[in-house]
Amino acid sequence: MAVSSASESARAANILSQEADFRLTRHPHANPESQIAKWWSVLLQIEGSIEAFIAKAEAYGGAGAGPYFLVPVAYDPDDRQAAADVQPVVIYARQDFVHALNRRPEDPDAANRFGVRALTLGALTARNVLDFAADWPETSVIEVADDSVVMAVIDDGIGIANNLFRMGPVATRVEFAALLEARKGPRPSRASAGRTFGRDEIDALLAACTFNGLLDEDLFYARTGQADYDGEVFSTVSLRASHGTHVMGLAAGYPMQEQIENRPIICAALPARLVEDTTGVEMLPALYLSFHMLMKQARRFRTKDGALAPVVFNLSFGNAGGPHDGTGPFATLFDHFFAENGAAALQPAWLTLAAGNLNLSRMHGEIPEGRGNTQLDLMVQPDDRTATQVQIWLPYSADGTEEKAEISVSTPFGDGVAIITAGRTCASLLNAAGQEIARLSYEHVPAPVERGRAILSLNPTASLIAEEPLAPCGRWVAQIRRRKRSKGAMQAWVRRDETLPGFKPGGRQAYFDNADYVRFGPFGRPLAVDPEDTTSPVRRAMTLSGYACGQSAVAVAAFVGKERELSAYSAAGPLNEPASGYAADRMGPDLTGRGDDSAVLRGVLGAGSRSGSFVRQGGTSSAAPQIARAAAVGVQTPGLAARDWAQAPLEYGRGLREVELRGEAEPARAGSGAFDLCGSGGVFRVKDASE
Amino acid sequence: MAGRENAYNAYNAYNAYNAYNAYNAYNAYGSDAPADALALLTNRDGIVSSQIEHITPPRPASAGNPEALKRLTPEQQAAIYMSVLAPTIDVTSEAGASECVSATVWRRSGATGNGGGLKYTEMLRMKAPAIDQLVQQLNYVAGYAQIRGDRTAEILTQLSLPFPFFQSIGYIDPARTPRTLELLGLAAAFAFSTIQRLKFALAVKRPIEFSPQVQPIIPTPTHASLPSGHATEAFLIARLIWKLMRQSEAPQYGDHAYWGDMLMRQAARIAINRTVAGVHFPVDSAAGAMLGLVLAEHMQNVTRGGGWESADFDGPGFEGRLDFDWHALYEPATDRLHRKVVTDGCRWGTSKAHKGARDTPSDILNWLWEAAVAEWRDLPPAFAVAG
Repeated sequence: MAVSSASESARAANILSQEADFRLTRHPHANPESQIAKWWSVLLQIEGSIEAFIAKAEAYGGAGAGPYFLVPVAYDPDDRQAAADVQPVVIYARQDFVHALNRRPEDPDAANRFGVRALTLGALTARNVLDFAADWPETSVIEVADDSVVMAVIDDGIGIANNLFRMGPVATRVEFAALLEARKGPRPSRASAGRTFGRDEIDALLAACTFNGLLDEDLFYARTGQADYDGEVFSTVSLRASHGTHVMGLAAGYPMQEQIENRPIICAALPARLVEDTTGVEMLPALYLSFHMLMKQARRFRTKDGALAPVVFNLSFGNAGGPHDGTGPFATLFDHFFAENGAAALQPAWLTLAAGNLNLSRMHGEIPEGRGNTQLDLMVQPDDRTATQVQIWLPYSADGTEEKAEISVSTPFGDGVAIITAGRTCASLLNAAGQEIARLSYEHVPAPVERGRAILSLNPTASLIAEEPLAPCGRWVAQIRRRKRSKGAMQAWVRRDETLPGFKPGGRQAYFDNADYVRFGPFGRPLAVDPEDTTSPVRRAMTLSGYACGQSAVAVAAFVGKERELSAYSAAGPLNEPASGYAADRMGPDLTGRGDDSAVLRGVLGAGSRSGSFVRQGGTSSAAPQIARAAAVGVQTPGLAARDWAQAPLEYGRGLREVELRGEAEPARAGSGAFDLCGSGGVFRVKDASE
Repeated sequence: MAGRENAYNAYNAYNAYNAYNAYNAYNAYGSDAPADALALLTNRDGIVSSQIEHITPPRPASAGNPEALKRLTPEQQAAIYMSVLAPTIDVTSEAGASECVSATVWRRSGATGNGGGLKYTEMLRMKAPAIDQLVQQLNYVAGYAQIRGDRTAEILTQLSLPFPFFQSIGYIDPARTPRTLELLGLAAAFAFSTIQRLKFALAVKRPIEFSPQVQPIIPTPTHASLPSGHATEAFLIARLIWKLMRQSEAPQYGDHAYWGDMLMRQAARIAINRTVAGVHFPVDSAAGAMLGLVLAEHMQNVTRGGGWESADFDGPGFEGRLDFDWHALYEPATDRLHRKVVTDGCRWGTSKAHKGARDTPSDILNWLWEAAVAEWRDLPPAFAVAG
């Protein structure tokens, strides 16, 4: 194995996103001939208006015929003209153009020729999903009753036809559904990616798929494009249990017969397994686009006197990466839509988020101050068909000075590379054939984050393609050498890339494996909290989902109902401190919802993919939407902020009861306490939480 | 995702009730064990006494009375039913060299035995799809493979005749509905030879021959792919049960086509599970469903008289991009095949209703059918009996 020199820094200086570059240069995407055949979702931070960006992008020309980028119609003419110093925009772009967008300008403080300051590569996107001739989305007003709260769910695999989301056999409660995973639909289409459906369209489809009083749901999802066995699209609505159906059922499902009219639903189904990409999937562009679409849709709901109906969003997705201080790109997403432009004052909008299930996953390590040398052992699993990534975040630096630490990484066979955390740098680890199998890069992430970030990216350890360069599996070692006088801890996270057994593309989760990490207590139970005297750099603390660290959203932990204790997997705070002035003020999750019925009956019952079926699904993914269901009561209190509600939800209406947890429930894991939905018993018998 | 319940395993218990086991109930009458014979021999010696001088003779047997059928063992009954039913159809093959391969199921009517005057009427003509259609259909086989984890229990249970899945909709049990089970067993056995003739004639290749990546989770049967035998049997059984329900005049079945719809949904699921398993193309299910539905109508016709249906399956018309959707074929509310069989703008079949034939239905089969219908009727209320 050969090692490249640090002269790679020249290359690093030319690239905006090392993560994007690493993925785009892996074997599946490296073939120059395939560049114009591959399309990606990309989140850009652009200077100026979207219209100005489009003009610059059109000047690019590009190789080959045909379009090379697509700005979704979700950005309407007003959005496109809106001026901004810097603003996020999600586009779809051909791979050759993504490379161009990812070029860094000569002047490190300026944007590149397209006005792009930052780029986040999302997911490989099937071309047949994209519609280049879509119409603008529907914006007409939907009049609702005064006590209405719009329930907005972003998830994958959402079975919108489930009877819990209907008021009658052919009458849906779903006012808008964006299916980012579907192949583009027939004209007229109002979506640039996937398909969107309004209530009338869903009702018409329900009627067309109902025979002798029975809805043929297989046929319904074939018609929406979600169950498209002939195409490249696979949605979990084809399975008995699907994450999004379960989550949306908990947040906004009511028996059809109860005719609940004051909880209209809008939802976006993310492209879960649109295309199997072994280089990883970054959900951020799809999340930004989904929020943008649903935000616009939420503004359609008005009461008789013209007031905007409140909206409660739920997102039961998480992410291990990010700075974990509330300055990350997801944490700022919600503020971008609701706080910054003052929209929250016009339309109360709350967001509940899953705190994450990574407490015991050994994916977080802490490199403390004052210790010269910290070693993190990274167990990279065999037969891991997807790339592995570790992020190491440096301490916040108030005056912008960079700590010069040395990060060295070695393979299980002892070959290694090292970088110094200064400027923009990267070093590659090559195999005997001279192919890159791992990359260690560093850059300073500007405001609002203001931290240095090193990224270790590894190739898959297994592939069915003979030519694909592989990283060796086994114990990789990262050594971080700091000066004794260095201030603040560094924090490392392994990005989550696990694939459920039986599903493609077959990612197996890498984790930190330091010998001094104590997993079990004296009676063999997993320890849910780091031992007080631990010297291990591997920590349960600060495993809170990278998405759930923001200032305004409610982060929800999970508890076990019968045992009345926190679920062992439920992720822990605190946040990464000290941090920049933009950082969030939180200890950890805001409150705790039911994630499991008991130690034996894991998960909670909720909607199965098909009407009338129920399945168990657990974790903070299930706890969050139950809290969202109750938050629909709280959000009706004028002027109340979501996280203030979460501190004492019982003060603002019914729908929840407090559960006294046994033993010590740290605020950094449980927030203000544990709350269970109440009413007439089970979740689906709650007639209306506001009663 | 939390652990999956093993609720589906519970259905395996129904296997114990499968139709063939119905016959076991009759074995309660003694056995052929030699020990019994020895015992009976010494037993007779002990009690026989001298021969009785004057006996009253029995009446002559009631020859040809179908009521006598129920005194026969199920195997003997089955042999008789089959000997009546099997000659009512014939299958021919019109294999061309390179042209479209087709086969025809003929309805044979008229006098039998020495009576002569046999008449053959086309009942189902089936054209095989072309290879390039199947290549396109392979996308479905690959797509459906993604839900194998969900369907494995069903697929394995449905390796044998799928009675448990119909018993979960209709109230069927060897003690409660023995004639129904005999009728359905007869239907399956009758269909089997027709299916095999058609498969052999049309010689459509299995998915496993198209790609090494199909990797079915059950062995691919050695017989050809189209029509799907599972689809044929499932739709045949579904329609027969629905006919029995309708004819029972029990109020819950009456005009309530949701019973029929559920039976068809079940049949479709059984058919599609074979694609999930990796042994069938959707077009095989489409052909099988049509065959099963036509055979059900034919069985009713030869047992009860009345109308019958003929149909035409146009394999080349079933474009490779199409998935199987049973609604294109049949309407449970009217118990009728659609005249034009169309999916997503593609016509892949037609059907035609025929007025009742002059044939006298078979007394034997008629007895079985009516006895089966009777099993679905409500018993009269208790006060009516007392009064």
